[in-house]
Amino acid sequence: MNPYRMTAIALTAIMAAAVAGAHNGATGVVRERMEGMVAMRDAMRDLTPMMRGEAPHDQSAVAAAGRAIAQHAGEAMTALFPEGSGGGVSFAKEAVWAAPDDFSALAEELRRHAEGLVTAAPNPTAPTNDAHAGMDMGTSADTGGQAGMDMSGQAGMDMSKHAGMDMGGAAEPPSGPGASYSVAQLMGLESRKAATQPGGPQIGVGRAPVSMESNAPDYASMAASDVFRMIGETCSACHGRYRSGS
Amino acid sequence: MKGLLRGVILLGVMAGGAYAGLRVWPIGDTPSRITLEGDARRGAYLARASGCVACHTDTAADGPALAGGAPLDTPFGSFAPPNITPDFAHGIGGWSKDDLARALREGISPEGAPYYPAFPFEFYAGFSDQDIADLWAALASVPPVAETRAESDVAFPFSIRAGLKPWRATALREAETAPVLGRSEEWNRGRELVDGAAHCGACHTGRGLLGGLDARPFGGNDDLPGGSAAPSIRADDLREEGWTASALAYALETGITPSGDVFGGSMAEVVEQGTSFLDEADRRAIATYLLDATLAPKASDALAQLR
Repeated sequence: MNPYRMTAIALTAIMAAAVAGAHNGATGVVRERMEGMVAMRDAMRDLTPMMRGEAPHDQSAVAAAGRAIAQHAGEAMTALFPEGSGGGVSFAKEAVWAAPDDFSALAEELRRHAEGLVTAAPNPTAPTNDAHAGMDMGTSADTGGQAGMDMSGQAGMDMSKHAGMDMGGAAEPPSGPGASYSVAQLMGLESRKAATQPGGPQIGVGRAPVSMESNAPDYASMAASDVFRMIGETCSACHGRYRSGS
Repeated sequence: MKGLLRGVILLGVMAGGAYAGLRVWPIGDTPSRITLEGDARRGAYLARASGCVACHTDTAADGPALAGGAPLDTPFGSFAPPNITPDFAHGIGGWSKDDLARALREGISPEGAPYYPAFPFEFYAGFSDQDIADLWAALASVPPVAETRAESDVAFPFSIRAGLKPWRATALREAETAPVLGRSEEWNRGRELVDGAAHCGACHTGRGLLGGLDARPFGGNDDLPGGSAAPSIRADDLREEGWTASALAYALETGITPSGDVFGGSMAEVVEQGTSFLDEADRRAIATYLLDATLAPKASDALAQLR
């Protein structure tokens, strides 16, 4: 055996040990699901700068990340949470098994959104009805008024219902604090499901429908970054309920 | 024998005397007289930013807005956020604007009883009269809900509210949120939100034995109600973890962090019910302020370890 081969074997062993160490000695399904979570985390990490608009849109990278997440979501995820596999080094709360249907609904929702991200991968911004997918609306959005007019004219878009509000927002950014929401929405009396994104850099399809009440959104008509947000909402809903710590 | 009896009686008298003293110990400033008209929209935004809606609504159980939140389990007992709808019997229907001001800025009920610091009133100390009037108008827009969803269950001796008076005198640390001359408008807005309304320090600043906040803010707290943990959000630590201003603003909107992880714990609720409602400019202001490494930590004092 040559020394290079020896070194390679030794390095592999060390790396394997390091990975095991990172998981606090988890084994079996717990280890497996942690690795699934890490794979999804890394997919999210790689897309985040792009989804924040700080890196150029890369359709194939978006689709690949969507596929990677979908692969670890849905039943692939719930199968790794057999009853009695909590405790010890696991971060899973007992709530996973107290409300298994809610947990699998979220896992399934994650799978749908992740596949939706693959569908929406060609869309750096929400595509227009007649337009070709991938058309860059970023430039027209910069001119504000024009983007607002284009969008309010589209049938079937969430925004059309709020044309007045959005027109105002696009023509001249909302002035007072909280201008993106109604008083009832701010006070929690009404869901903000139909509300639009606060006047940030994206003038996309507003806040995506809140999880759990999904009538399968039309991913093909959404900007990839909005589907990405929905994935984040699902992760957060699940972590908030079922993961201990932060 | 006689001596022992005498001793017991003496101790009893002293305890009774101490308790009576605590009962009559006056707290609070001279009551304010707020005659300003409020703007419900501004108030609703402030209520969102301040966590009123998140804490006083039991979202997980689909409870009505502001009719009382899920109890907060602490080492001192379980604190149930009360109904703050304008119901006269179960809510705050009978309150005046001045009552609201005293409750928020000083943590004192209309009857003069001190509130437990599970209610983060120390962060609301800098609310202006206009802020109070706005919140008042916003709360008045909410339909009254005639129910009390949960009662607090606080263990002895913490159940004696008068015991909070010495705590207030020693451990209470009122937020300082007034604008600082020479700082940008954005920085000052960030300070107003971070150190005031948004009360980041309630979770991200460590607490002493008696629940008082550490003098040096934002070092993190691993021991939050419900088994949640809050990391350090000091500028150096944030930068080390890969946070930038835009990453922070994006995470406060979406929960998605630069590592690709997504917030869980109480921060999931903070984003979903709070910071995701804020204007992008405000999320940016929060990020700018938090990432300012020149923030000089206040010198720690000897009492800090005990509180």
